[in-house]
Amino acid sequence: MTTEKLILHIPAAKVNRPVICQMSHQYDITFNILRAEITEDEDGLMILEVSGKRRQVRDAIDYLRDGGIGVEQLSARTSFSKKLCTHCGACLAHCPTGALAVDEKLNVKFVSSKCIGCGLCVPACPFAAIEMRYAEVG
Amino acid sequence: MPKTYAEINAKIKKGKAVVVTAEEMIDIVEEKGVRKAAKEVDVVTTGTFGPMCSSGAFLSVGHSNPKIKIQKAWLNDVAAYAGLAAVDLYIGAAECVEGDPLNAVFPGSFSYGGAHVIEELVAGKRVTLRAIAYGTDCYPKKRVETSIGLADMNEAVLVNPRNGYQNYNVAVNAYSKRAIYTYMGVLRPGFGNANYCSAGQLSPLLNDPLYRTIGIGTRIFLGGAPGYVYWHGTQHHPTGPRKKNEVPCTPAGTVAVSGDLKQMSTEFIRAASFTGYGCTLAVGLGIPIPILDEDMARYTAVKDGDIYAQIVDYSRDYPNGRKGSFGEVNYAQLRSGSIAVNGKTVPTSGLSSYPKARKIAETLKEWIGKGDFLLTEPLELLPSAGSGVSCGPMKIRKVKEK
Repeated sequence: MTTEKLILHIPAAKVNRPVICQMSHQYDITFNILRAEITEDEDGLMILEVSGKRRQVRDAIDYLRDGGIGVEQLSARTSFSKKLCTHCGACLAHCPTGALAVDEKLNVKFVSSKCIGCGLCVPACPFAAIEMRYAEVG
Repeated sequence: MPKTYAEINAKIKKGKAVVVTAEEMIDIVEEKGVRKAAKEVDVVTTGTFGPMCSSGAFLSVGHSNPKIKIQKAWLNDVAAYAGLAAVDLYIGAAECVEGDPLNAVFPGSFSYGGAHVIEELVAGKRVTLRAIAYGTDCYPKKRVETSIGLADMNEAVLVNPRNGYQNYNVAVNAYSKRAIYTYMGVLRPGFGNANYCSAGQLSPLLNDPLYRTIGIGTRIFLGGAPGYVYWHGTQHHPTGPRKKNEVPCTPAGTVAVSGDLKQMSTEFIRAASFTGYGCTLAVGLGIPIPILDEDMARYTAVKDGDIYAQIVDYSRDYPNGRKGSFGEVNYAQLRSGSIAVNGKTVPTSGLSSYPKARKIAETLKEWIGKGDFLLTEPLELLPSAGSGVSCGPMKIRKVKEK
């Protein structure tokens, strides 16, 4: 079993189709919608957590891509700058998943696998240490 | 048997002084007791690194040829105050860049301001200076534009009229239905989070709660370089409530500090942007505390669990100057990640970096250990609990039209 968080860019023409549902049936994928919105140019933006057998998750991603849907891994788009972070911890209370947490010395750590891309930490960080590129799309 | 500054300095010069951080002092006093600790330890170092409004720098930029009496000036399009002399400027950390939409598109990001100019200068970068003038017989030039760095300036002095707040509020959003954007950070509705801002047991003024050793002339760590306390800070409020250990449980003492910007480092001078509020400068500040007697040993052994702060609503109470608290919590609770407010478990966020505070206390300890940083006996101590000094609100009087 493997779990991945994906950012899907769904072109306007495909927004009305039940692609996710079909993917789930065809590849035996469990999914959890973390965020879904229609962007200004009417494309769909979805952040999806998918779980399934490693092989089938890979095939499911290929299936989405073949269907004209842009697929990216979420962690690749959340950037946490160790250089800019001052370890103040202003982000901590805003992170709902514990992706931003402190170690025993109270240094702030970013665990990308836990990040769901909610973006709540971005305005909370006074030192601009966290960036969410997908936020610009939406 | 009290110690004197001279005795402690003599030991520092010989490399024989016992210097520990405020964190280490806690264990020493616990283990050996106040009496023995007072005898053995000579200096306790403290540190704090947090957003400190009321920060800025005096920059003496030198004369152009022909000379100019600058009337208005901008550094990277951030206005600097020029009403001092001909070529002396003061750049304030909270000044926003010209053309910033501010909060017109709410909440504004405030991504560039005076603090950022100061950080860039400290980083060794050059900034664009633009200035205008009305021209005089002795200073005829009316306009100047150049690229300038700290190395080009005659003097560059960080002068912060208020830093190092001794304790502060814990900010919550009790009443607003939306997230509010404050100098205490983003506060989500319904007690969504609680933000605090103090290095607690490492914080300078919390380790000398009655300012028995801190005053005018105290040599300190400021932004990575030696600096000085030059006055009590603005809004200094030594007369508020204190606990049995003399530690204030509301915002209290402050210090006014200054130091050579040219020697500072971006590790301890960082620009900060508070969404929806504005920009400010995060400043590293550390004060060495001489252990003159047993009282000072007891004070410097203060623990996060012994320091209390008030939970204050920033959606209605604070903006309207209403007194009131949703209770008090100590810094051990705050640092645990959550506190209980109104029967709800509320996640906490700090704004002051504890790891940086520790680094500052350790650096100061190193400096003193090497024998090249001596303690100074204050020329005058900060006004203390019995001084009658307090911080009050603005008086609004009707102004008659003339």
